[in-house]
Amino acid sequence: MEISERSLRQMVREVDEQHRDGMKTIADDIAALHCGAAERLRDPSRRRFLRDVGAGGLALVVAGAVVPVGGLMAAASAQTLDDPTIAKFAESVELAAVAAYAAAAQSGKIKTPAVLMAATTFASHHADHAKAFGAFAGDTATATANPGILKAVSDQLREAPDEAAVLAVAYATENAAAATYLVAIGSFKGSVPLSATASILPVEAQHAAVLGSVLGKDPKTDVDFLPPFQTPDEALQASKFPIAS
Amino acid sequence: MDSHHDFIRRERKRIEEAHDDGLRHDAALLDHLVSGNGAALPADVKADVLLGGIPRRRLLMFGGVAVASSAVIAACKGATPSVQVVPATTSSTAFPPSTKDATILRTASSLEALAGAVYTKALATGLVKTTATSDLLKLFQSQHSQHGDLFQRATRTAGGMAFTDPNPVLMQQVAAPRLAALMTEADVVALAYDLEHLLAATYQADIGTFDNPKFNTTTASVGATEGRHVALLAVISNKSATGTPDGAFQVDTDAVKPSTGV
Repeated sequence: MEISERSLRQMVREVDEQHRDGMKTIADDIAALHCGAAERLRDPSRRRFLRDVGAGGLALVVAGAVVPVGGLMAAASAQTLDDPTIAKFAESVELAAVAAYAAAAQSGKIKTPAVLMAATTFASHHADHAKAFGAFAGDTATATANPGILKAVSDQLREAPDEAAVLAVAYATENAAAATYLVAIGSFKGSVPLSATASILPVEAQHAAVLGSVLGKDPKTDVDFLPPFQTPDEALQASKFPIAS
Repeated sequence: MDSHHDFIRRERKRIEEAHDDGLRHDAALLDHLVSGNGAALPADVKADVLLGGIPRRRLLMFGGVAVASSAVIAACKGATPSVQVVPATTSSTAFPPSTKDATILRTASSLEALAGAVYTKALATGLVKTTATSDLLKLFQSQHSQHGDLFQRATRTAGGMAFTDPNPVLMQQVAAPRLAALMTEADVVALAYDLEHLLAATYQADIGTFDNPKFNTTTASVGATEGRHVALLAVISNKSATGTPDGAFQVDTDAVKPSTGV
């Protein structure tokens, strides 16, 4: 699983351009995020949404999962979500990822041994994450994959024609997970789940970075590859993907 | 001006005395342990004391050279934090100024400046021949500049004075020796990997320690990007085929303690 020089050069050049563009608004973005007045974040990123559609729809893996962060964030700031509820949702996200990787591995579409190894490894990571979040959820833990996310991802995997398409589904899922945990870090009150999430978020970001590099991601069409800052843009919303009862 | 110089002289003398006192205490303790008088202590406890109270697993593996995190911390032992809390710059700050938050954020910005300086020096060696790798390191460098800007702004929001220089302790004790020993492109990549992992670990450790919880999100937004840097460098340097050198959970054993060098 080596990153080709061509891919690296391409992504570096284009991401650099995007960084420069992004820096024009990053101060406002961060300020808005911190002040809880994230008007831009409350709206689905229309620009990103259109770009993703234009990129072939693969980034819409969790189509409905590319959600405005406002709901979850606003709810959390209003203290309507307690730690066990957030942990329970995170557990369901992780278990959906585990199931998705299992389905991908069993689909026969992944032909490259190194890629299969990575998928297996990442699935085991998600299983570990699920256990951690499940522990924080306590008695409310369901030990069940989020049905809405699983269905969205499974549908995409079923329709994926080849290995690259399968990886693109995984890539988007990992980015969504990373964004979700950024929101969770802003929402958890307890120090223990907060610390655990701080150790999990970078790993989801690592998964995404590796998958993106294997895919030879073109930063012109995917700003989620090596962004200067993790954003909550693609965070999964608990209200949109209710947990199985 | 004379009174100003007197003040500096007095302060220097005071710091030297505090430093000497600390050294005397440490020397006595080390003598006690090394001479065998501390034989009754369990080996782990003795090791922890010798390493400054930090478990051995917290040895900061910075390339082939193990550097005790405690050595870095000890360099600042006894030093009065230099954070000067000033009134918040905006009235929208929901939280009052926090010396603790400002110190964490100053340390973070000093690490970002350190990263920028290390990348500059490493690239200037001309050892990195692969254009793609060179471009990647330059991209990371530019992102660290952005991260530094963010942490500096956050420091001011916390009521502190932004720290803009490379972390002097880490530069002297950790980075400079590694830079001097660079021989190959692989050395540069390995240094970049260690540096990125140190930053990622530090931000992970910082999360949950702020008075103002908003800074948790600030720090995580940067830490995740450092994690992406780590992943790609881990693959390039063959440290991890899957870009996840720590496994399912990132570890923070090489985190830099807040206030180190700032």
